[in-house]
Amino acid sequence: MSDHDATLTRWLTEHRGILVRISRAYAVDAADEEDLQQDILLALWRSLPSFRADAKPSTWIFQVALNVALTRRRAAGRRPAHDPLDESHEPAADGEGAAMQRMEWTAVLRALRHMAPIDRAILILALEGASQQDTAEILGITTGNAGVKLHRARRRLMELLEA
Amino acid sequence: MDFAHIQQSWAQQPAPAPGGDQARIQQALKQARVLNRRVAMRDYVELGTTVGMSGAFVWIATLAPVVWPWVMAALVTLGVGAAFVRERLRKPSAPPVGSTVRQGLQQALEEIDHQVRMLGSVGWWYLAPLFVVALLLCAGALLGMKAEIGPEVWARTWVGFVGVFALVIPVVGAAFWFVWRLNDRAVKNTLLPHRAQLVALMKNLEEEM
Repeated sequence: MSDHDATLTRWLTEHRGILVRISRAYAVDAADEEDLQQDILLALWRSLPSFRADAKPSTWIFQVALNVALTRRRAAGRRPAHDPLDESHEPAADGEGAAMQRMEWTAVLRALRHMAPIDRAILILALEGASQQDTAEILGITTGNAGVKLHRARRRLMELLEA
Repeated sequence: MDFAHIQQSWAQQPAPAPGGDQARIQQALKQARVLNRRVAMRDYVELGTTVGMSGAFVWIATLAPVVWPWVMAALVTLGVGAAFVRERLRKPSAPPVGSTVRQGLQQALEEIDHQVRMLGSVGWWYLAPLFVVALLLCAGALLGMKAEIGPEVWARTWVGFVGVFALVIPVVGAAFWFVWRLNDRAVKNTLLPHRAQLVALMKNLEEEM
C-alpha cells in the first residue's frame, strides 16, 4: 500500500462516520447512498496529493464530501427504490435502548431530508460539532451568515421533529 | 428534544467498518479511467477524422477538374476540427483542492455552462459546417461531371444528376437534424435542470438573512 493510500485509509478509519452520515443525508435510496459514498471516496483520493499540511483532515473531508453531495445532479421527482431508513445498516440492534437510539437518529435524518440542501449542510456540520467559524470556512460564507443560517435551520429542524 | 440531544442521536448512527474502502476507491478509479479513455479516444477519433477527411479532399482536389469545392470542403472540415479543439481547451479546469462549497458550486456551474454552450451550439459549429461540406461535395461531383461530359451532354442530362443529389441532401439533413435533436434534448432535460439546481443552491448559500 502506498503512503497515499495508507494516509487516506487512516483518516477514513478515524472519520468514516462523517462520510457515511453525509451520504445518508443526501441520498434518496440505498443504491444512491452507495454511489454517493463511492463518488466522495474517489474525490478524496484524487484531492489527497494536494492536501495542505496545516489543514485538519476532518475539515477537508467535510469540504470534499459536501461539495460532491451538493453539486451532483439530483434526478427531479426520482422516487427511492426503497427507503434506506427502513433498513438497518448493521446487524439488528438488540435492546430497547438501541431501538430507541435508532428511532431517534432515523427521525433526525428524515427531518434533514425535508430541508433545503444548504440548510442540511449547515445542520450536518453543527451536528458533527463544527464551530460556526469552521462552518463558514467550509461553506465559503461569512461567520455572521453561517450563524444566521444555523439559527434558522435549527428552528426548522425542531419544527420538523415536533410535527 | 434539545439540540444537544439531537447531536447525540445523530452521532449514534452506525457506520460500517472502513475495510472495503481501498477496494471501492480502486473500483471507482478503474471506472473513471475507462471513462477518461473513452472520452480521449472519442476526441482523437473526431480530430483524426476531420484531419483525414481534409487530407482526402485536398487529394481529390488535385485530381478533380473543378478544384474549388474540394478545397472549400477541406477548409470547412478543418474549421470544424479547430472549433472542436477550441471547445476542449475552454473546458474549465478542476476546482482547487480544499475549495469551499461556494467555490465548488461556482466550478460546477462553469462546467455546466461550458457543456450547455458546447452542446447547445453543436448545430452551428459542427453540424451546419458538415452539412455545408456535404453540399460542397455534391457541387464538386456535379461540376466534375459537367467538365467530364461536356456542356452539350450536360444540357440534356443535368436534371437527372441534380435530382439524384437533391435526394441525398434531405437524407443527410435528416441525419444531422437527429443528432442536433439528441444534443438539444440532453441540454434541456439534463443540463439545464442541473444548472437550475446549482443556481438555487448558490442563491440559497449567498442569502444574507
